[in-house]
Amino acid sequence: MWTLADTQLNSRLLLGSALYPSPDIMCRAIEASDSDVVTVSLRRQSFDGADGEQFWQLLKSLELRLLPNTAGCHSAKEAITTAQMARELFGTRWVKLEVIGDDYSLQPDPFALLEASKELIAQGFEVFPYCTDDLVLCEKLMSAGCRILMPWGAPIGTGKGLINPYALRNLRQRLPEATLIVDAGIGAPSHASQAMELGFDAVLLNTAVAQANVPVKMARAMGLAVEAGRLAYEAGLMHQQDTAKPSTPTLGTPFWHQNHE
Amino acid sequence: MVITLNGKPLQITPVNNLQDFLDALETENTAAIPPKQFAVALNSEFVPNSLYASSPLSDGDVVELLIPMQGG
Repeated sequence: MWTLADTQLNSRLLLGSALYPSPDIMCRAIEASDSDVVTVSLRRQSFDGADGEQFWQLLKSLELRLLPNTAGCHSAKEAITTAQMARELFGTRWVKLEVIGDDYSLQPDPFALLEASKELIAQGFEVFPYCTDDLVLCEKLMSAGCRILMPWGAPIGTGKGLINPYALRNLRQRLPEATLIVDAGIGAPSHASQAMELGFDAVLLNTAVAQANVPVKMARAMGLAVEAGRLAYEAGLMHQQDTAKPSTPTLGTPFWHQNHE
Repeated sequence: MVITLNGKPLQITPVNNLQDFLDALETENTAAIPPKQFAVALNSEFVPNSLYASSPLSDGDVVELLIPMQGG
């Protein structure tokens, strides 16, 4: 068990609900991952009769914590309004705050992110800011009242893994009080393990599972990878060294080995 | 009056407030039937559902009606 925003959870994997081949596969993937938290979003009602009711009923049947996002917002104002709507729609004060600053890389706008975070925290939200791995930005977000930080591993949907492990390791060392979640860029279970081995508290991913050939299997793989990485962090990794050192004790080595001397 | 709903202009019989507008969507056969689960913004400001009836609506207002969807 671990604590996320005063909530006890079993899994350290947060999973997105988008891009699955079907709603049924989405549900089975979420179940296979053992995730306790699923990200969701909002969109305009279309005039074609789709009203989100089926998806809403599916979400309710899963009985999970929901983390609504503000995807697609490009200003603090848009993100604040979207977060307010999400709070009422999904019945949660949690919000994954996304304010995009660059459409090509989907890189967050750090200035608008900080502005929106301050306002939403003042309004009682638990803000999960999707941010870069910039230490100063993360420090300012914490000063604004964010208890959770979600730096990217790589741009959303790229699957490139942890592009700058040095920066992420530095965040962990410099911000021991923060709940750190790698959000975006995870493409393989090994990436998720690596983030957890660095001491991150959790991993949030979507595309790597939803777009796998067999999403349900990949969801399970990601769940296990996150668990393995966390166990490794708690166990403590050995220190790397440049010279080889035998792991088998040399005491009592059979006589034929001594012929080399 | 004309209200822009989710980016599309909608000609409706004049209404006084947001609640009346949502009710009118069902009765005026606009093809924009309000879903069961939704949240509303009026002129880019969020309106809690408890304030629909006390939120006046004027010609040219912009209403956004958002529903749950999948997200990452």
